[in-house]
Amino acid sequence: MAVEVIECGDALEVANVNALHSQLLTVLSEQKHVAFNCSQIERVDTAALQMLYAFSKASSDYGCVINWDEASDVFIHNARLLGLASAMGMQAST
Amino acid sequence: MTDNETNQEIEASDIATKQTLPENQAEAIEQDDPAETVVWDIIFSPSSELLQLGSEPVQLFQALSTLGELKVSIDDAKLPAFSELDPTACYLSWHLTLSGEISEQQIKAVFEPVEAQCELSVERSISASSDEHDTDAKVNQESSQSPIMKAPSIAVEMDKVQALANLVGELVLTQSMLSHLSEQVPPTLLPKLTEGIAQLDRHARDMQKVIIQMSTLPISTIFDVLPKYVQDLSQASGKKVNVTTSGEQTELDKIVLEGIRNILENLVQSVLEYGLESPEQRQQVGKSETGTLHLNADHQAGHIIIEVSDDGAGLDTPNILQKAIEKGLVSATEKLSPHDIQNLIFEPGFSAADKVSDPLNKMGGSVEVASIAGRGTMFTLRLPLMMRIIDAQTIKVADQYYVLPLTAIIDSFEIDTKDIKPVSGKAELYPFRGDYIPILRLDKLFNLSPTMTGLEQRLLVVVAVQGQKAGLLVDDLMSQQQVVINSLETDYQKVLGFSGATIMGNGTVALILDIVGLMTLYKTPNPLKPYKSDRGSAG
Repeated sequence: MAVEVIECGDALEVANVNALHSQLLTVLSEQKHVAFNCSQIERVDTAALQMLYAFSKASSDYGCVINWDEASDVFIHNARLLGLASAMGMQAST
Repeated sequence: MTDNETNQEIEASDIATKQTLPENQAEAIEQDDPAETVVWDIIFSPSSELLQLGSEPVQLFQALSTLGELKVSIDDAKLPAFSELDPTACYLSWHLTLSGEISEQQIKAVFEPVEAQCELSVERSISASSDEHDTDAKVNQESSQSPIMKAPSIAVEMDKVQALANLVGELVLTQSMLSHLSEQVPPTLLPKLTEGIAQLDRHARDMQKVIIQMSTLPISTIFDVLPKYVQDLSQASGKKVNVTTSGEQTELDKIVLEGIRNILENLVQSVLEYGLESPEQRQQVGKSETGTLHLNADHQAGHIIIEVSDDGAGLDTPNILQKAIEKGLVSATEKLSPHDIQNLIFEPGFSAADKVSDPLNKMGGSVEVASIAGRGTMFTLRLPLMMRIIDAQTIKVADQYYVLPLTAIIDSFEIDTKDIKPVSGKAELYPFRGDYIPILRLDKLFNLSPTMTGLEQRLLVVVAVQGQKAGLLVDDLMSQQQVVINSLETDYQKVLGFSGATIMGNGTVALILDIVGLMTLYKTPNPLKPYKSDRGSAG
């Protein structure tokens, strides 16, 4: 199974979640392992984290592994604040 | 809302709450008195439009966390399948537990901007009194399981859970074997067989998740209470210390939880007693008068790694050697490295043996220490996890196959030889995402005869562990699969650069690479020679 690297840039917000959702739908249909590069993220909101959580659940059902590559402090903090970090399996790779 | 309306609302709420509370608790909230620690249960169920209207739960929870200790659990019952998700709609609800000297009014004030866009319940917790609640626990502890309804439970012996975990390991091995055999199946039967194997894989993963949920707790259970313990010790000793933690959500087997807590308490006590200097001594050597003690936890290939590091005076290596000679542990003529001498403190006769290494060994773990005089000390505890299954990538190096933990891989690509930057000595660097990473030529590192001549045909697998990145030069990437980790220490000995061995789908044995160990091996001028994995074609 191939690994798809997703570059998350510096902001993941409600304004750009639709584009990422479409991209992730394609990745999910190809059942690839995914490495998210979240190292540069300075802003991440609930919409984005909720979508990434839903994606991690769906990926898990397909047996795909997600790597949260060196997620930025903001990303980890907000995911924890929303109670999502563990469920997204962030600990294993950050 | 006017002040009068606010007061009326608080009084009405108090009356309603008192009717449901035992008399003694009802008396305790005769007035909405924020001067006492109160535990609040908050259920926040936003409307689906909340996010589209620009409201942001992150900000609300951030504001709550400034009031007191906040624990957050999600309820994802309304979350649709990913393909049906509207990314801008809010599907999650949250159960929050907030404790501190906080009034209901303060909590409702936080939610006031979104009160028209949500259902909100704020109730004083009946189950947890302020005495029962550990007020030193960390802010923002999360749980993915909703505690709103507590399910009935039964007690199960850990041996039985371990047996179940071992059986799942066997299931993973069987799945791997079937997957390998499927390559030889006639094409007409292949689709059905592939589907069946994929289903088996999903079931095995689900079983692993359930076992992990049953048998583990985050190490924050320990990390949360240690700062208070250190604070008490430091007050008694007159030393100043700041405790920091990382990796708090790392899962630890419940069976070893209490034992690890005792060991960590012994270690931090030892750091306070011998490692950290007094404020005066620290100032004399140009350090800040407050020392630092850092606790970190992480998973590495079927193990939990716990690090306890300080910026104190470091171990007194000559003194340790002298004592070891007196105790007959080593001879006066023996040539030992500073690292070897420092680790003598875990040998019989030293107090660290009784308090740290012996109990850790009984749990199947090990401990190492590394110390630099005047700079500080780091203890590294390593314990096997009950569930020793990892997602892995098989790689080919020369004529050998090795296994790499998938979570360590961040990228892989064909190498462009003109970008390789040779540096002094024999090191080579390669540009990666605006940085340079060292190239680890695994064939050279493992003393293998290369089967490929040119670098152009090889791949660079970029790995990252504990903040370190490196590029592993491999001949090819093979299959990805789950593997069951078998300890080398159990039947052989610890080998630097390898975290264990596994049985592949075709029945051969492959060694599992330990990235941190590989980096140490790369930096060590005369590394221990590791042995090769079984020859064979890995599935």
